[in-house]
Amino acid sequence: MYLQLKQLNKKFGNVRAVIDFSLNVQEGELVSLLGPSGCGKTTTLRMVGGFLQPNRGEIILEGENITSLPPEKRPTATVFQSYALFPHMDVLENVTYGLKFKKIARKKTLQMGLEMLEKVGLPNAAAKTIDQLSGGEQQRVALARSLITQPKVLLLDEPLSNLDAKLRIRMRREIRQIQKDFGITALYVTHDQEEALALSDRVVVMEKGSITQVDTPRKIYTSAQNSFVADFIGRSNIFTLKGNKKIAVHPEDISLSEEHGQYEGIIVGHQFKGAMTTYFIAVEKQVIEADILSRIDQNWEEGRKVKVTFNKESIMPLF
Amino acid sequence: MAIKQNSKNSIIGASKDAPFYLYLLLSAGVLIFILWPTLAILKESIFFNGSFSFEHYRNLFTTNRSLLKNSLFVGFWTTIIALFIGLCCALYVTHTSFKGKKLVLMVLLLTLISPPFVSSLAYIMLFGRRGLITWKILKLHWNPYGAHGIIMMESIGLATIAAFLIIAVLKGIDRSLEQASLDLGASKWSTLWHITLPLARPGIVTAALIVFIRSLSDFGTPMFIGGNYNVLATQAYMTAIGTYNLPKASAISTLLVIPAFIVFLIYRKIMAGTPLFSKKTTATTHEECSLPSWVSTTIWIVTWSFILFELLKYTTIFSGALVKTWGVNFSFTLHHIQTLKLAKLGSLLRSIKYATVSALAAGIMGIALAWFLGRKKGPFTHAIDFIADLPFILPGPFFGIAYLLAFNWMPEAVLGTGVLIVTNCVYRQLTLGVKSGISVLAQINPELEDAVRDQGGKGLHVFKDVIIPLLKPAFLVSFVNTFTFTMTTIGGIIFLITPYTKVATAEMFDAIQQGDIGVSSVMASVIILVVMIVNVSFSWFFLRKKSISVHKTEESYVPSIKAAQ
Repeated sequence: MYLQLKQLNKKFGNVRAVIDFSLNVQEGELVSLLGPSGCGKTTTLRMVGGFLQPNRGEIILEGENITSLPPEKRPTATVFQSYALFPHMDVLENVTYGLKFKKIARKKTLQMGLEMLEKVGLPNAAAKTIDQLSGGEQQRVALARSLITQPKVLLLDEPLSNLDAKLRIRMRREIRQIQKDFGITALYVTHDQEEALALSDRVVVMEKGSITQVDTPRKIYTSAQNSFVADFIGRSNIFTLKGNKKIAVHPEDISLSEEHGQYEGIIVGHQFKGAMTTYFIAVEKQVIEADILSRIDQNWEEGRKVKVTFNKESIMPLF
Repeated sequence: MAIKQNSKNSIIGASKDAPFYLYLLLSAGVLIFILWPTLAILKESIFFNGSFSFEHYRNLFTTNRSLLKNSLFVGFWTTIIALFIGLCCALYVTHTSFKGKKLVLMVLLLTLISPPFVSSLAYIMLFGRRGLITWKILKLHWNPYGAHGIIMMESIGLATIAAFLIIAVLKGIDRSLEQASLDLGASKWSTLWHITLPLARPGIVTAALIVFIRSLSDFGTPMFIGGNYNVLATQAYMTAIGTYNLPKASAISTLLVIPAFIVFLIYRKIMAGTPLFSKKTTATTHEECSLPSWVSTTIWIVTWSFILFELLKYTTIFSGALVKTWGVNFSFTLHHIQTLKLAKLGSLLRSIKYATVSALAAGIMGIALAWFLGRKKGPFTHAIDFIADLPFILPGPFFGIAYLLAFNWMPEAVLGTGVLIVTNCVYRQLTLGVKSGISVLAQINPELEDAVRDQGGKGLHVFKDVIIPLLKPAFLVSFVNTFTFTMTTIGGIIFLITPYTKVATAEMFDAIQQGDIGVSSVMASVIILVVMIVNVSFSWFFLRKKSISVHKTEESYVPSIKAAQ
């Protein structure tokens, strides 16, 4: 196994920020740490980067225990949430900063820096100052600076959180592309479930310092194992069956009909969203949401009785 | 969250590198040059004829009780009047649509960089027994000496620092709050009273504290224009220098610390949780003035009277340098300036030398300490921070006598280099360098430091590649500040001056005492000129380079100057 995190624990005072975090990452894999703020995902990342020392546990990289190595000795590189670009240096100086410590001739480092800028799509930015760059460009410079030292693991701490919605979607494709091109192993921290699903090989969902589920994006979405994951990933209806068993169903896996169905329901509200219309339906004293393709000829008004069916394959039993 | 974690844990695993030893060295300096003298003077004050006793203090409360009363009386009225003038000037600059704001600010800056007892000198020249106004013009025979003179001159001298502190907070106030108040139907007066002034409270309280402490520790003004009216600070000076009774002088100056300390505690309580300078700078809207007209009229009158008096003061001093015998013979002469050339030039050059060395040392140590203390990297940062802060509230005479007691064992050859004068100035100003360093640092993302480590740099690289370049503005602030302070201070260092280390302010002090108005005016003028040149050239250098932190540091720079005279 390429990167192994074994039983990592971190306490801040009396608060257990990370509890028994274990994870194996394969070479070239991009794994997201996903969870709400305060779930310990950034703390975990900072332990891997060497900025925090775990109270317990080990970090093994290519068979070597790196747990006690300081950040400057670790073969990891971080893309910080704020990018942490040096404001008093120009772009090229920023990108080549890490090479200063690698005993490479200055001429060569400049060459490497220019090449790297080319690879991240900023061929003409070398002499610019940081404040002349847009948010997206700063993001790429930060990425270039991290990649140039050829780290064994790339750590990304909510790298897109400072960008606007459209740019965020574009940059997540670019990051994924660059990560694949370089074949680099990456840990990616985010609280945006859509982002995690869109760019990861695997997703680690965290809650209150612990891992709740590790799976591929598709599995995470289609078979959430508990109500936290089901609720956090996409929108889910948590539905209590007779006998107090709980299940989760995504809104798009519910169908409505006038004649046939498992349950009786009453429409209590709706939101038109374009391609879809979300209906709010009271079923057995619970309100569930159903996404139905909008059709000109069909529109259930509020107060109307309908039959509700959960798509059998999509029902997620919760534990 | 990441930031908090970072500040607590960053140095783990690499604590014994070069910066760690630098921190040890700086901490040792703080302990040796601040804590040790402070303890030495406290110890000295509780020994009477070689044995432990509170005799000195008992004497102070019995025989010298009137001194204490006088000090508090002067301090109280000075604080009230200086705050009033300062507040008027501050409101003039920030809250009115009057013209001439630039001139007001310029004159305020000028008064901030001139030596102490310049006011006293001008007072004697204008209102003294042979004063230009009282005697020559009005033909009055009045006694200018006494409490009223001290209070007037100290108020005028200290109004500037009050003005700058209040300007700093008034500028930080979100003006939309005032607009909201007016919008909700409050009168202009209510808005000023219930919104603006309460929001400015941190600055007003700080100003009151500093004015009060400085009034208590000022001995120059009472000495020159107090006449028979004695206060604790003059007594401390005369006891130490005149009769060389150091234990008694220690007790007196320790007594000065007590009210200062109480005010300091009150201030800490009021200020708990209120940042001195708001981080958010809100765009000031240049709207019509939102003050009631009688208030703005008052402000206009007070501000311009103050400014006119200040201008008169400097004109008087500068012309005093060029006339034969002030009050008697007003004909032009270069005689006094030649005296400077012949005899007093040495002390002026010495002043400049000490000031430059102090400024460099305080600047470098300030940013280095700011990094360790601001990022809490290193053991005992809280204690070191507190001790480094101490000179801020310690009156000058206290700190001066403390140095005398702690370091007077040094051989003559060492003392003759002025090392005590320099260290005294450095450590008294260090906290301001540290504070401005920390405030610049607060705007620097800690992830920048992590990034250096992440890229393979060690602690030393963090310091060299990130902290030093980004803290350059704080260095400049500290440099100019300490330079100005060393050039103009007298309160602390007068106790440390030997015949070989006489500085310009001491020369001026002696000249005033001997009633030599010509020489005192020349010294005052030259000191003002030198300090002005350094200030102007540095702020020019400063403003030319558009740096992100210039604006912020300027704000913290202004009130910090000479805050602890």
